[in-house]
Amino acid sequence: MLIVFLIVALKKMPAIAGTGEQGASAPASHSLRRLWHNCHYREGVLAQMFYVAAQIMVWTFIIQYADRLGINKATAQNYNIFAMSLALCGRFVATGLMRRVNPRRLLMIFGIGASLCTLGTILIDGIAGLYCLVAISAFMSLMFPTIYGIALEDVDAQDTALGAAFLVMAIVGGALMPPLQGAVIDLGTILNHPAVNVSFALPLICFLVVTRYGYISLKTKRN
Amino acid sequence: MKQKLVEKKYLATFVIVTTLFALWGFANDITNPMVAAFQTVMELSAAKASMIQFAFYGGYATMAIPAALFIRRYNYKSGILLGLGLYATGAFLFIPAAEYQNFTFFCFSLYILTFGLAFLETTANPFILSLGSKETSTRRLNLAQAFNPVGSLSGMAVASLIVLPALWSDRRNEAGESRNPRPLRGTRHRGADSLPHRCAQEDARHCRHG
Repeated sequence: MLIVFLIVALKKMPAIAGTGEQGASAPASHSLRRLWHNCHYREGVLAQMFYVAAQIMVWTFIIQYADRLGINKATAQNYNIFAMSLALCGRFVATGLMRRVNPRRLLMIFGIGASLCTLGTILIDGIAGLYCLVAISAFMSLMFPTIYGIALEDVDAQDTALGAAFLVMAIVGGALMPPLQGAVIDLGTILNHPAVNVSFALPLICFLVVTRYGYISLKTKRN
Repeated sequence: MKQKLVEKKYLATFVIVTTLFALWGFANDITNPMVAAFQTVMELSAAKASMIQFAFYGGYATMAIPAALFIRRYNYKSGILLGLGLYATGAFLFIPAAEYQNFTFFCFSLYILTFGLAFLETTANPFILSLGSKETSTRRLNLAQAFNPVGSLSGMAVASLIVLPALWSDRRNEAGESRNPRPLRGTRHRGADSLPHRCAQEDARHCRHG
């Protein structure tokens, strides 16, 4: 255990040596006010919060979902790893697609895709539902960096650092929702439907918020 | 649209920062089973387990804005250096925490470690965005962030090959026969009290790169 920590610590060292780029540094605490009045940015922070919530939920509760289908935990863990791999590929694919498609539009399209998959996760009672749940990851992949990027696009360069800070704070906000889903899951069944399935209505809401953000940012861009 | 994603003059920096994304994905997923192990070894109550979560997100909440102010004052590079430093400090603090099996100390270490994460997250993302034209910024960040799961996956692989077996034997020594061996991650039976537990472990793994 100790050794691994050492390795982790040592592994980071080479990265330190090579970094060399001057960032912009500007004074003024007016940034905060400017950010607050930047509607597009504010919505971005909100979208990021919902996204992070959705991501934690979708990844955390794969195990529960598989468990209810009678899949053993070790196999369920594989689904988790598979979802992670999909997210990985998704980001590369998204990077490629953004060459042709506006990131805002792509965010909206992927948001719709994620919502549809989540809908499948909720409604389908069986292994196909699990596949839907895993597939969400592919659509989810682009959201974090894309929301981050879009939200900061209209932000003045000197405000960027502070703007980024609130986007990181959104992670904290997002962490508040998963326990809620856990509570829903503990109910067992809801209206004769397994509560695990129903509980995915929460990430669905989140994805709709993200989709909406893609949509409105696309519209504001046009104008 | 025809613009280059990463211009030549920024290429080296881009590669290094991107490597950083992979590295911290790796570090995260390798420390994660250890956090889980702490929970089991110390037989934490649900309330205490949720303290772990609190430490994790508390670190983000405390440090994101100071990190931004720091970057404004100095630059992205020093932000990254400090982030890495804090991360390493937090990781090293695990060693005495493990030695004495002190829960408060353990939470404190995790708290410091997330200071580092908050710094890195606040620094590296806008840094990547700013390495070139605005039109390609979002795409650039997507590309860089794609390497984060690369690190995570290899971290998971290393964890399951090296760290987990080591932890199992560790736990047998420390915990003796009485405990039923429980697999480490996300495998507890669900129940209101086990939830914060599970979230803490899973979140630690999933949160930082979004």
